Amino acid sequence: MEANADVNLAPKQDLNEVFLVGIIRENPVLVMLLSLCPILGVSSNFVNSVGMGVITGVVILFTNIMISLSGRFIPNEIRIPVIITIIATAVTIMEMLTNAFLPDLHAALGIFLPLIVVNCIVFGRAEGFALKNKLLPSILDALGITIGLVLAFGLMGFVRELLGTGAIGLLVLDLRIFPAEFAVPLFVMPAGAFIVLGVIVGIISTIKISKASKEKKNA
Amino acid sequence: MRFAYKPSPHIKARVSTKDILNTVLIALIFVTAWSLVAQFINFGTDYVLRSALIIAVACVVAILTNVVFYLVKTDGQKFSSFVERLKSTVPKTKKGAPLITALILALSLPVGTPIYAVIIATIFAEFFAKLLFGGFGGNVFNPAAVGLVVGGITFGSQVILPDVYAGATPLATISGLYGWRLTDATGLGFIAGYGGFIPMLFGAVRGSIGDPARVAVLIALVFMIYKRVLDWVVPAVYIATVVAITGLFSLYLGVGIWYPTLHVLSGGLLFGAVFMATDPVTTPVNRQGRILFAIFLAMVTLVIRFNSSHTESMAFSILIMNMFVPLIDRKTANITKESTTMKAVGVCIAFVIAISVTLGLTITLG
Repeated sequence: MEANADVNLAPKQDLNEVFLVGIIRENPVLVMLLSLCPILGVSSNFVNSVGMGVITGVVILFTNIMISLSGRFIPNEIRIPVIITIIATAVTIMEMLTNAFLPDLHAALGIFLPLIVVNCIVFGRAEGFALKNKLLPSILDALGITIGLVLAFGLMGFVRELLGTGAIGLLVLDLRIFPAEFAVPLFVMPAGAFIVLGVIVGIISTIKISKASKEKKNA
Repeated sequence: MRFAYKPSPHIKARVSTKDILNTVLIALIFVTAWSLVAQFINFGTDYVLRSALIIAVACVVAILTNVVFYLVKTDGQKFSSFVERLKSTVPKTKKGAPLITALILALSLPVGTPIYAVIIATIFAEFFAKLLFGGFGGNVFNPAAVGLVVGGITFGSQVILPDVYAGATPLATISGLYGWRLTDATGLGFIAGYGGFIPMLFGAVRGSIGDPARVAVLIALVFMIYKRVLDWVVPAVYIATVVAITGLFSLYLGVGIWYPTLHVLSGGLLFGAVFMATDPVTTPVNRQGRILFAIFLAMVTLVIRFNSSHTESMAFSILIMNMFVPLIDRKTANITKESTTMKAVGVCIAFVIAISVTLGLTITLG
């Protein structure tokens, strides 16, 4: 049984690679452009934005573990409803936990918290990776993706809050970087989210393209 | 810019892009000069210096934005020294016409705008609305309108400085206090407070920097039509539609003929109609499209003016209509095949839609 299952699994991967690839090279938001709805919706504030990233990451971890453990029992025809059910369970648990222990964050994230159920990146990792892989790679994958998510959410939240208000609110500490009258409130408005995301994605793809062309020259 | 392909004979245009831009620039400088002189006569030195500073800052920032952008984006060109690299930006910057954008933007900004807001608005206009879209000719949205909207919505609360001019502009008063639902008494009293329509036309109105130069805008319009750099149909149809809709609304309100006149003469409507709605890059290519564009532009302007809390509606309506330009272009691409009757029917339908939407929304919401 064990040997038989191994044949069906994806070829053996470098575990280091599995972990690292999600952080920058295949960053879920800034490179794969998934999970755009929450990052546009909640990134106006640094702390809330990171919170959203962490909660999504925990959901990914939970579903990746569950799916990789139960992967071989899930009939291929109904894998999508099964995965969605597992994701929904994780999201409901996380929503209740946030509501109980972090009520401020829960209030700030609002509808975007239950909407993690339909977040592409959660489903993508579960269906595209955890279903075909064993427990350890799935956990590493979830951790790598989570770090990538938190980086992206943190960067967006940081840039938008900094430019939009001139200060970064770190829970109790209000870190003022420049006076409020020099802030551009456009950046905390929805339009600012699109502009900041566009600029960040543009910078990253420019770096990627120039790197690729350099490698081509060297090769 | 899109080209409409037509069967021959082709007529070679006598004006080039460079000539068009130079003519528009001359017209804008004329309007600016007139405005500064009118401000000096009516409000004194402080006011003029403030306006001149805003205009200068906008121009300098616009040019600098272009130069810095082209210093970074060299398209793989190699330079032996920094000076050479700097020199290579000059023709590209000239091609991008930053001064036109900067002047249109500065003339639409209120006199009390903080310098910081002017800088941010200009950078947004030049960098985000023009350069990122591929420079002049590739932009989807009117750059000056983008800068104006960014400045307006982000610094809305700070745009009036007490030391230069305390008090609401006429447009803010009518819009905020009455929501444009004026009666004969309030309206005529309001106009009398500004000394009647003639001083309004000749510059005794506080507001945006270009506001005192309404006569100059009209002269510039005639000059640009004579030089064939803009299609007279756009401002004409636009203002005619505004007059028609507000005229009908004045019948509903039961007020006199001064009401549509006040609409045309207030805010950036006239200035926008001449300098923003006629921008060759962001407006439809053929005449039928331009007529439809102008009619719906009037509709959007008036809907925003009547029903929103924003006092200035011109820039918003320009941006909203810019989004529909590709659609209008596609739908009117084969219009030369249609008969004149069909074209006229299309214009009439658009006109009826514009009137009914504006009045219907305004009356039901008001």
